[in-house]
Amino acid sequence: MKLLTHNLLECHIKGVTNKYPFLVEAQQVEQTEVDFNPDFLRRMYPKLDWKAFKDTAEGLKLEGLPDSVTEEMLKSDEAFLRAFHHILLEVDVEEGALICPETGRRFPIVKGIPNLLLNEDEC
Amino acid sequence: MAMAMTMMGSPQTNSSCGEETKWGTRLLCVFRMRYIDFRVAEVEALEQMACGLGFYRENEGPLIGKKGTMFKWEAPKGGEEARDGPFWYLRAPTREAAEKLAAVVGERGVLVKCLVDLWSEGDTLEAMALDLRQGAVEDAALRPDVEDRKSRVACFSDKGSTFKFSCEGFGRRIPMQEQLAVIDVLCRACGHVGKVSLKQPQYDFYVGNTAVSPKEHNLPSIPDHWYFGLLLCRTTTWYDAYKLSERKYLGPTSMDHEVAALMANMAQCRPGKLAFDPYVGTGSILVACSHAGAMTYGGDIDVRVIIWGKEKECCDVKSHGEFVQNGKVDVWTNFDSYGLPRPLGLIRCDASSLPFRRQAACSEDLFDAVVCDPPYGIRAGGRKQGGRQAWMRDREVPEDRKDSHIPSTAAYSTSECVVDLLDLSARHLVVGGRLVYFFPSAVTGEIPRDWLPSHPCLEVEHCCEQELTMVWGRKLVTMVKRKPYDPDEAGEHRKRQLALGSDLLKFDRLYELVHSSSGEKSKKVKSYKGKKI
Repeated sequence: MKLLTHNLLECHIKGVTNKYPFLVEAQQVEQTEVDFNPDFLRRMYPKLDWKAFKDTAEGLKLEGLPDSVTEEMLKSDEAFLRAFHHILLEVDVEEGALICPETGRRFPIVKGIPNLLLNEDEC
Repeated sequence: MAMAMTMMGSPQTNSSCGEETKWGTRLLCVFRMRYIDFRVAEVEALEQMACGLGFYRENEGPLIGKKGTMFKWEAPKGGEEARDGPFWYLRAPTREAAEKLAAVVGERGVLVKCLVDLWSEGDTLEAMALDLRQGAVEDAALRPDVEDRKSRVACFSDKGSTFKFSCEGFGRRIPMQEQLAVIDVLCRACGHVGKVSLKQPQYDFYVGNTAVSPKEHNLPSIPDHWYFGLLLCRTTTWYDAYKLSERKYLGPTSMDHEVAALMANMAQCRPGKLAFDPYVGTGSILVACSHAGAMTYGGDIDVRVIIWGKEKECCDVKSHGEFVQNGKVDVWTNFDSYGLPRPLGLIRCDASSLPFRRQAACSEDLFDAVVCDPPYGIRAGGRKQGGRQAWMRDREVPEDRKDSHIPSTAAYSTSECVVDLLDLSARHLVVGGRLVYFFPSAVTGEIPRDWLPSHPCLEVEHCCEQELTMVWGRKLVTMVKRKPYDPDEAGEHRKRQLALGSDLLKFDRLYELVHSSSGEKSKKVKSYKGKKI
């Protein structure tokens, strides 16, 4: 599971109000190479919650993200875009879990695929 | 007599003062004889990607004022059956647009064989040669300023050039002796002198002919006709690299590689775009999207397909002769073995309530395309979360069993499935984004054949039908999101679609309806395969 995926997901258990962001429990993290495409980054940036992204990255001991992003950086700051690309798309949580911030429900991640299917009583 | 024939054969070259002449380049689009109903739609989807000029339709009012700005189909010669044949005319607004389209079609077209800049045609070879002589050669020399003649003038004045001919017959292979005779006649007619180069010709000519009695070959009946022109592009069967028979990880309903490639084209997948398949299964549709350069996301409710994978015993993967030693294969294996980028994410989730963030800023405009083959219960049934029995929803899973609990799933009807699909597409697509999906079609008296589910945000762009059996078929539906998602409006529409007595609910009883309407079964079947191919 890439951090992009993590950033886009929220807990949808019935009745939960504090559903975002999931806490990440990582047992195995891998890195895979993904083609660098700055246009894709610019397109995805408005979809992201930057604070959640940075916090999660730091939780996985990935440094190098700024506190805030300016348009100028997105447009032409190659070093920033490379770091952004690497953390957003090239880091994969292979085994671990996503944890709902309110209820503490664990959604396991197996072989890089988070299982967000709810139990019968949760939906 | 000869003159009359020429006039008949090619009106645009002779009526040089007519309005038509000024309208760009006349192309010949040679289709493959597969997925007959899908072919025009594919070219239109690729055109939007290549130039974005659009196609002129007869019902959109007069042509005046649109000349030179739009593409236009011209139906082939012959009756209704000729429309199912390989040759269609395509009018391109400018030479530049034609070349742009040819570049994209040549690279990724599935159902187009080639695009030809049409120079002459005729009902016999002699008539075509005469047409070439009088129309293309002499006219072109007189009026080189007309857009579609520039390439001809360049060709005729280029004496030391290299060339190649390819002669293709529809329903027959033209014997080599006859091919040489054809080439000789045409070279003499246009006065072309140059050297033959089969590998890298400067001018790649195309000759097409329908001189057979196609009835014998179970093909549509098309009148005898000859076509000649300059080849703009020729496609390859690149999708054969993804043949299912050689794929390592397959499921019972993996999408055919050719149809998947077609779906990726209909969805206009390309680099920088993000495609989503909510019923990803073994990833066969995403493989095609990924080949086209799009980033992909997949979701599925079934743990077996997206996580466990299969245990493959020491198997010989056909042509590669490669051995997988008791290795496990899963959905990632397919992407890795083709050298394609893996999907950005696969999520085990329920298409009826996707776990994406609901804030408008995030969840809307997320995907450029939603491409899928939903489970309609014909080959594989749909499931949704919520428990097999209603009472399960009131009982909490005991604390000590939470980690190992496997939630049961509830039945998911066709109507709900398709309403959810349209709703999730309307919500998550960018405005202008495309939803490409299959919908069942069947011969029953109860539902009109052309009925399709609707959504206030989505507009049907193409609907292509494929007949599978005498009574069953499927339609490839392409919808485009036209306006931002409005939850209230969408909710209202959902209620209407799922209200008692609605047409959509009839699809839940499709099997029953199809097999009860026995009167329809005796419908006339065409003598050739038609849409069934």
